[in-house]
Amino acid sequence: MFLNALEHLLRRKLLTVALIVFGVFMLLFWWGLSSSAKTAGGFHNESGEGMNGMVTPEDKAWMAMATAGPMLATILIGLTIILGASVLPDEIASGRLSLWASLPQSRRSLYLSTTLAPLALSTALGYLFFITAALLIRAYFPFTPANLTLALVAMPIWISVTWAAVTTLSLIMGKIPAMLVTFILGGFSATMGSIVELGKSIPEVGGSGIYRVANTVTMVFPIDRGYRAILAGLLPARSTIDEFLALMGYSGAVSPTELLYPLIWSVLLIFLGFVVFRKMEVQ
Amino acid sequence: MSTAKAITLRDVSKSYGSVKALADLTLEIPEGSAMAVLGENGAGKTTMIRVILGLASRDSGWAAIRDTDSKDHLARRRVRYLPERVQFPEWATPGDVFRHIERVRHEATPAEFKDRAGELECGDLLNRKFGKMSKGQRQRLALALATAGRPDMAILDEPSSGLDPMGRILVRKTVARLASGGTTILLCSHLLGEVEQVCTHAAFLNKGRLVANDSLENLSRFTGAAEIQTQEPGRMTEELGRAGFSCRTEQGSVIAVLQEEGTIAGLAASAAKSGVPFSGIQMKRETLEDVFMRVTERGEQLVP
Repeated sequence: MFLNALEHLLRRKLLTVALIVFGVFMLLFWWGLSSSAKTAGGFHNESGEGMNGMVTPEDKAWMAMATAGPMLATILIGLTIILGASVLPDEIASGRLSLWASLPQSRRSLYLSTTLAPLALSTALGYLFFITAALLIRAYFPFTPANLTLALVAMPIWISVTWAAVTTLSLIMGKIPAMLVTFILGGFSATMGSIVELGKSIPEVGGSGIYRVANTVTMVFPIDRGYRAILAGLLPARSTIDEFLALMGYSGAVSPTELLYPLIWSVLLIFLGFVVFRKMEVQ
Repeated sequence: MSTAKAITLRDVSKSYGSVKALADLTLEIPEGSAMAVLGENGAGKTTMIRVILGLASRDSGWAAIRDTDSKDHLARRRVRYLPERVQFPEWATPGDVFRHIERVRHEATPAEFKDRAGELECGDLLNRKFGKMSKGQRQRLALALATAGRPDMAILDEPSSGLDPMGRILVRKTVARLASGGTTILLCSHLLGEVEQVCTHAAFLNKGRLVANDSLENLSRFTGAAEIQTQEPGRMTEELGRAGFSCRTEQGSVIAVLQEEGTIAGLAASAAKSGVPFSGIQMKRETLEDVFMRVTERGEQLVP
């Protein structure tokens, strides 16, 4: 059934569109990278004097990754929401579920196979997107990723938060409301995540009420930690502008243990979805 | 037909809110039988099927397939189901769907599927996308997908839905072929003529209750008459009248009134004695439609 669900997803036109969008974005990104590599580039001080000597290739790689990251994340989260709401909710809405549920397979097997396929596909696309971007950047600005293992491990955990949310919510409230709620929660939580990052760097922010709210939101919908762990893992190890980028919400300080919370959150939520599915009357 | 039970329902109740879909339903379907489940819309037929297949929960009672609780997915091995409204992905071909189904059930080969599709005269559609098929073509392929190979049991909910007369004939032949091959059939259909030709037994549901359950022969009552097929109905009517039988002609046959079933021997003897050639003589019994009206409209109960 897992292969059936995967085939169902791979045959969708949506995937082709997403890959075309990714391809176009990568072409533009490549163009931008090659242009910046040809020019002197660098920062300028307040009097307009060049500070090229202060900007290392790692710094440029840092900036390039920080530019590409949000775009790739947006495409990927959008795809995860649509794919996650595609197999099981679609089968339920179309009345096809009775066909599959009447076969000699358990509800658990049916649930896991149909829900794990979108997670697997989204994770594979995540690796494709981020590793392609990193390799492209590396071709122009050589760098060594700070912690590649962390990035690889963080990818499925990051995606699983969106996947678990859209899967379970779609079983409770229906496909379209679930997609909208997940999208809004995801965007809100990502924004709040930036405030949390600021709070870590600036003590005044860290003690504020908005920091506490932001922290709570990122706990309720922990989409933020995984994404920042991917960036922290992929970004250059020896950049000189970590502090500057921390202000933009891209702190490199993500400990692997911080990934445990979103992982447990996803497992619990997808289990809740199973409880709902197991009791569901198949039409 | 064996005495083993293919399906057992014991005091099964199921409600949707305040609506009682099944009320203490007890029914046994012997292995190898062809049982029709009949009743008006909303009588509980589809709910009963869904409980048997574990697609819907039951509030109380016990449901089993070959003594395995229907909640256990292993009970559904070699059991096939054709839902009333079957949907397939528009992008998929019947070949794709068969491959997908067989990845789970492992019970039929592509050749067997092709054969069944051939029986239903849709073998040339196996590589066409469902999105480009008519409703009738989809329905016939749905039946081919559901019954490919040699299933032990086929649960068919309105298999002729949306089919033209030729399609209905093909479906009927396929179901009859399955039944004669030993497959237990559970058929829900509003086409009583189809049921009469395919099934040996019928159960009637009314508001979730079992109101009749027997062989078709036992369900239909003697109507108090016998039919004699003859090329000379006028002469036969005259001759039998002389012998003391009250007769009339009806659609080229002679209908003779009988006080009781046992007197048919006397009628046959009189017909033979009359010298008028005849090809057959049989008791006139109720049609399934008559039985249906009796148990659903007039509320007659034919079960204890």
